Amino acid sequence: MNQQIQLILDYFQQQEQLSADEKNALIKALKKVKSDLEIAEFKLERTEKVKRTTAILLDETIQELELKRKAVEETNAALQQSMEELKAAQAQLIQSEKMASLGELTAGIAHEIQNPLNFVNNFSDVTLELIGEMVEEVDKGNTEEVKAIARDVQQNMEKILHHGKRAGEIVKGMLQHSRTSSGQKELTDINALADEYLRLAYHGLRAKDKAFNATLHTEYDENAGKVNVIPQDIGRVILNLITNAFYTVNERKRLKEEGYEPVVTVSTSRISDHIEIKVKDNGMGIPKKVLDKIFQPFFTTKPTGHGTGLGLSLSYDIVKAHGGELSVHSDHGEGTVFIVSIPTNHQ
Amino acid sequence: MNARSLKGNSPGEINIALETCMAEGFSPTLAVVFISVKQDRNAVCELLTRHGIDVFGSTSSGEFTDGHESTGEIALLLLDIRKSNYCVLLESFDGKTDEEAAATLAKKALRKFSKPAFILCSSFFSVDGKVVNGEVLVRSIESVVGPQVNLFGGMAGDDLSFTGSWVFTNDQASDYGMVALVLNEDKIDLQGMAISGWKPLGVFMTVTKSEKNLIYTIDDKPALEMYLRYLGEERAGSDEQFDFFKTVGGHYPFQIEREGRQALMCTPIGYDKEKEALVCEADVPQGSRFRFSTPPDFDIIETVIEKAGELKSATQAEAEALLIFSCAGRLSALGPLATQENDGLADVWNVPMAGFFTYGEFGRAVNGKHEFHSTTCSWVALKEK
Ligand SMILES: Nc1ncnc2c1ncn2[C@@H]1O[C@H](COP(=O)(O)OP(=O)(O)OP(=O)(O)O)[C@@H](O)[C@H]1O
Ligand SMILES: [Mg+2]
Repeated sequence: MNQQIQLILDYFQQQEQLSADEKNALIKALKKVKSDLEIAEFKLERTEKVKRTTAILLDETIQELELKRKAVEETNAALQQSMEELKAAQAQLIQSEKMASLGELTAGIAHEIQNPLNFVNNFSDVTLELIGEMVEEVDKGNTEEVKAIARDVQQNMEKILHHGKRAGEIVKGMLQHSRTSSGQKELTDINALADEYLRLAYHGLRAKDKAFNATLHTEYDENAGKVNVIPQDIGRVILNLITNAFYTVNERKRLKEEGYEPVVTVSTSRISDHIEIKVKDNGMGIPKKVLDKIFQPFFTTKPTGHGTGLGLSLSYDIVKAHGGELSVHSDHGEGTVFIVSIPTNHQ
Repeated sequence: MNARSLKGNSPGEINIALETCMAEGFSPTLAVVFISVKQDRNAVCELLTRHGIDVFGSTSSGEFTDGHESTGEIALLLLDIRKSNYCVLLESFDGKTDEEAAATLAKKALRKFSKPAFILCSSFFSVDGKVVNGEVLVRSIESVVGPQVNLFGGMAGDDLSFTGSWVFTNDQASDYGMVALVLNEDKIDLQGMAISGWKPLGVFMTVTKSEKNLIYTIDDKPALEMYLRYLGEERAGSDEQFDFFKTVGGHYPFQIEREGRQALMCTPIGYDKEKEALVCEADVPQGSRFRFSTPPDFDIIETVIEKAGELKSATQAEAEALLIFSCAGRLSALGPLATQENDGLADVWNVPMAGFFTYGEFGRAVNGKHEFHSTTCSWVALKEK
């Protein structure tokens, strides 16, 4: 192409009938054509090349992305797997935590069962003697005496039955506690529930640590009444709160402050359509930094082996499931109060 | 200030052109010389010295003046700038770090002028293969003179032979150094900018193994093989005749991610077949993230020229001379359009111009500050107040 243009250029140069101006104008125009042509050729060539390279580059990029996508997919699957394993492990931990608190309860429960069992044993002893006497009187033919003794035996047997049943109830409660959570809601006397678990917690701790002691205050609202809750679950919340309260007053007591008296107060109150259960202590209090985290699962400030950090998190979930709130107020160094608030009309 | 641009294919041609314009009454004080490594630069320096003209010189990978472009020749911009408004400094990198050398140069400039501006040309590839880090030079000068410093220029070329490029003055020369035309900014007005136009393409990749300016692996795969495969030149690596820079390197530089700043363009200039490595124009730290990039659309030259026009009317600036530092990659990727770009810029300012095709540019990014670039067309218009 350029050769042809050169040809035309040479031709114009040789034309004698053209004036110098005409020649210059023609040559200039032709040079412009030449450079435009060069540019057009270049553009065409480069466009072809870039098109080709871009296509390949994109192709490679797509393949690369495909590989990455696959890798991500695999990682996702692995992640999913470990998530499930983690969940399973957590569930196991939560279950074993329940069993652990069952362990805490056992000591309290043993104490509770001991009373009725004593009754049963004592009355059985007495009754055995009475029956011996009765046989003697039968031999003597003293019908009146026999009848009198039989009435005593009957009364004793009723008492044995009563205390036997009570022990049975306690055992049943213990079994319920260890069940995963198939508990049913039932109308529950909140004051009785609070009191029961307070005693369980107290005796549980005492069984573990003979030196432990704290003043227990209870302020039960007579109008608290019955509320539709899953008793084992709410009981568990109360137990957790009280256990924490006992722990912290015990900690503070160890500091041997002048005149310090550990006090834990459990109170109930009915406020319009809510029932409130408060667990208050005059323990260490909770620093602001820690306060944000206490409801997180597995958060604990206790030394290893002393806390799993599940107590409050589980309690929070339970209260939520009842449509209620679990709140906390704490002054660092003064003590803490946890408030369980449950609507009475929750279905 | 008056300016004249000269061109020639030998020192003799330059001498004739110089004497012609001096005969017309022009008496330049300073010559900006862009010259092919094939030419006898000593002869050119001698003849300029003989005429009492100061030399600021750099070797080129193609050089041009307004209306003329060549490879293997000589281009000059002659200025009759007042001697008190400039000085030429040459600083070698031998025995010091790039950073120290640049700081020394900047301090000398500060001693001369309270507000110095820099036209900077640095060697790129020393004869024994040492690479200069342009980025470090900019940061180091900036740290001495302040972030507002005006800094334009380019890295010396060697006609794409990558065997060593040179900077020089009347009586000094270095293949591992830099030369600065230091201008008194209170007396000289500088306007300019650097525009690339290369566009990122594809996904981010990571340099997983590198050493100085050699990249060994990308995403843990051999870098050379991968680069060529991505550009459809798989067989090229085994072809002795393969002109790497002109065919692929100059067209497809990397855009290396920089925190909080424009990506740094980095052009692969060759390869080391034995090590299966890519040879880059600058050091690439291990762990760098980058994307491939593709050459600008043809309308980039209009953009470059338009932006120059906008700057001119926005600043109401006038000019008496124009210098252009255009990346050698632009010549491969834009061909005759690169020539149009340079001529278009000279038309905007309508002043004598000289420039060369560089291995890296210094200049003000659009709406940004002074940076070290690659792939850009960096220009600066000068006016003595
Ligand atoms: N009454 C309180 N006084 C001070 N700090 C408390 C009190 N109750 C809870 N905390 C803080 O909250 C943290 C979390 O309590 P949570 O009951 O969830 O776990 P834990 O008691 O550490 O372990 P776990 O109850 O699982 O045995 C405790 O480690 C403690 O730092
Ligand atoms: Mg606890």
